[in-house]
Amino acid sequence: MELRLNGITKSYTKGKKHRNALEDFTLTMTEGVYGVLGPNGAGKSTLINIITGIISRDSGSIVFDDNGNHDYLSHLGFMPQGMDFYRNFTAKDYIKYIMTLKKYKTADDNAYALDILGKVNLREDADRKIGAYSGGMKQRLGIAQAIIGEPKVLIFDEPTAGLDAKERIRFRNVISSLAADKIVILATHIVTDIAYIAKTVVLMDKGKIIQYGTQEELCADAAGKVWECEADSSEVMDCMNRMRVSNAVSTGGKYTLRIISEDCPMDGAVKAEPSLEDVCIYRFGDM
Amino acid sequence: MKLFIYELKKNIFRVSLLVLTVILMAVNIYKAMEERRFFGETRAAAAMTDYFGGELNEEKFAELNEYRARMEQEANAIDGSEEIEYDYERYITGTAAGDASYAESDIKPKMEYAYLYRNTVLDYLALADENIAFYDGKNSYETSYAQLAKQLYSGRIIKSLGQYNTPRLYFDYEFSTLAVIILVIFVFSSAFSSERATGTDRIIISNKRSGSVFWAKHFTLYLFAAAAVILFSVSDIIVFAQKYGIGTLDQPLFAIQEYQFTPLNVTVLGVMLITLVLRILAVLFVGEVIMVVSTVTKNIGACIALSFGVVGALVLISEFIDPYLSPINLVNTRSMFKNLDCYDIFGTAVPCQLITLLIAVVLILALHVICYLRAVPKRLKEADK
Repeated sequence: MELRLNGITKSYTKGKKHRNALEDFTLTMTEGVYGVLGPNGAGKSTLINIITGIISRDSGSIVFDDNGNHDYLSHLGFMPQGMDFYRNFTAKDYIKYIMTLKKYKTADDNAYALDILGKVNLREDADRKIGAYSGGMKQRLGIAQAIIGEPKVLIFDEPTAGLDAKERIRFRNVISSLAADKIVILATHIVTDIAYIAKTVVLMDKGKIIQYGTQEELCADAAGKVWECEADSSEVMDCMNRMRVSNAVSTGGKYTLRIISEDCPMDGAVKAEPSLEDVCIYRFGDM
Repeated sequence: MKLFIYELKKNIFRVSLLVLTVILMAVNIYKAMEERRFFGETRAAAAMTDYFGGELNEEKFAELNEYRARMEQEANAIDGSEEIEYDYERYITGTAAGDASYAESDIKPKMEYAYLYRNTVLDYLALADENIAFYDGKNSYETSYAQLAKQLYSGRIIKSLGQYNTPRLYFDYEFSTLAVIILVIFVFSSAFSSERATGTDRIIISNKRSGSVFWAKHFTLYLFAAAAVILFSVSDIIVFAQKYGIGTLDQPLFAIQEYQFTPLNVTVLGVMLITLVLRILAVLFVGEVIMVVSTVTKNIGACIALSFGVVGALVLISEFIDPYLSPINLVNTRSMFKNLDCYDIFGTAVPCQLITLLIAVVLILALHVICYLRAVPKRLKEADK
């Protein structure tokens, strides 16, 4: 199975201002989780909206191939950014509603809806009104509606916004369990969402791919540019203002800083293994 | 069909809507009772009409005169210093003086109007003939108007005296339609904005189902508008009929004196049904306006506020323009069908009511198309975050 994005370009014109939201975006994806990372305004949502057919592209093509099947839109599951629900629906009603929208028919819709909700641990709450759901439960319901009909391509746009740490971990686990035979595209600006589950990371900025590869490949690229050093509390703010600091951990009156720099940033700094967060700071500055 | 059921579930089957409907229904019943108290006849007058109602002939007049004379006699025989005791078994209004008074001041004029209506019409038709002769070849509109009047008023006759309180009040009462419009704003101002607010529009577009959802929403509007207008109209009729009975429905509309020059040659029951249909049409017009408003922004609160603003503006505008140019005026049967008013369309007299209907239908269709173009994009213009 393969999803090829060839030279996708999209620009917006507002008055006299012209902005390229996507510029010659080319990427080939196979089964697995693809993390699309980039700061706000990088073009992630535009990319996703084009793949899902919500907005048109100026040029380029999208080609899907799954053993001769080329219609990816009918095999697409999608969870939009900032998704919300009808408060007076139960989760089961909602799943059945999306089944109707997708024209997905089963012998027993109720049983199928419960099965789908079971995959995201919502089976027990299937008959509760969505208005009574927590943010995390709603997010899982968002995943559930996306996986209706066993789609081959699953797309999630900023899926963990507003979730607490526990729900975020739960979300990652659900996505991992679903990803085996699917192309999963996860667009976010939260690095940890991707760090644990993405086989390939695509770094985007200003509508372009600035780097992509496995996490190891990306981290290898930043090798030698990540430093760790200790600083007094009085020096921390100064360091943060002058340098790219990816992390600052307080340890008994002192701070351990991770600094991204081509050269040794200060006396006593030692090289450290880069993480995906370091790579992002290296590539984008502050996200 | 399934989408339509889900639209009903989304928009109609809500506790908040039920609560609002109950509140508006209670207010409407109270207002209808007030309308009945202020603009309906007294119970005594209605009872007298019921008593003398029926086919009109010389005997009926003689019977009325004889009854009035007898009641006057009985009333004069009563010693003025005695306390008046109401006797509803013997007298229709409870007293002889009451019966005599109502017979003279209420029933007699009603009978005379009905009995002499044929003459009124004949005078009017003679005037129409005069106008045709005078304007022929000089003013095509006036000629056309007189010809139309002749056509519409010929052969009119009122054969009986009837009880028209309930239909008359129903024709004049507008609050129930306003209540339905409030419900329509509450239900449909978020019809499309809620899809955008929840991000469901993206799922709908990516599944290429915008058209089906659009129609499902509109069928919901049609069903809701019709059901709500019927529900509130029935409640109005029940309130009015509680005091007067349903009344005489098989007589022509011009049997009600206020409508003596109505262009409609339809029975009172027919006009009640026409009123119902016109009110549904007026609500549909407002509903389509609200549907368009709901496509303007994804902010549901803003859509509700904007809907109230736009509908308020429409009502205000309809107060200042020619009443026949505003579909909002379809809710008032009296202003629509009291007289034969015509527009001069290229020298031909065209009844204003037809123009109002035409405007209403054209506006509803135009708003429907605008709503379709806004709510059913093949693609969105840009990523709306």
